[in-house]
Amino acid sequence: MTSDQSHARHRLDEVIHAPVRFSIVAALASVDQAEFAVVRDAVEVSDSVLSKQVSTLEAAGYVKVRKGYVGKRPRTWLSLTKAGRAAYERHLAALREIAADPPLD
Amino acid sequence: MDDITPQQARAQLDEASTTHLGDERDALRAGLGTALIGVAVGGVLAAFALTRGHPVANTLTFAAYGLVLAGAIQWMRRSRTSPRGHARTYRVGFFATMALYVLGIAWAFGPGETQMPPWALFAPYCALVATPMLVAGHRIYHGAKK
Repeated sequence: MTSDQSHARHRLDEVIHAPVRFSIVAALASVDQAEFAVVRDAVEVSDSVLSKQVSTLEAAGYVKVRKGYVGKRPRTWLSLTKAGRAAYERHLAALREIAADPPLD
Repeated sequence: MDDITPQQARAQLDEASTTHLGDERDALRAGLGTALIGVAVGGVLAAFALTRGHPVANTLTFAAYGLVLAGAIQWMRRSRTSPRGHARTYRVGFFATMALYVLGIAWAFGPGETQMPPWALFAPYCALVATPMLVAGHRIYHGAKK
């Protein structure tokens, strides 16, 4: 490994790094699971944008999507998988290292 | 992947530390629902003992228990968020309560048990049966607020 590759930025997770996906994962990390609409409102995106980003996270194995009913109303629940939570923790650790870097002159 | 500056990293870390989806109402619902199920299991054990030898009363007790249980579960399912650690804490509390319940049934109704244990012992035991779920409910509610 070269010294360049040991820099913390190489440990950032490419899937989580995108701003909207980071917001989704950060929101889901605070709960066991949340309704699709709650995440949409917290992240302030449209249904279609959330749906698309969640599909990417689901394909990476980071988010689990569960569909069900409460009474007659269909509901979609989102949760972080174990792999998603671990990837998020690694991503945060890399961010902390970068944040602690002294500014370049 | 684009490079990220320390300022951007700090901004993302700030977002991560301030984002919290759970709300007070959902936490209360999860905590109270869990505690209610514990009280129902402890209560049904006491009620079974009280109605011993009365099949109709026994059946009614069981039906009431089923209704309380179904109601509590349905009520909890209406939550829009589930607090962090809810599922695990609930499971631990539930299995501990159910294990104590089964022991209580064996104690009061097991083979060769023709007489009820003394109420001075059995009533506190019924409260003990509910305790793991009460503790779990408390932890779920207060854990969610941290």
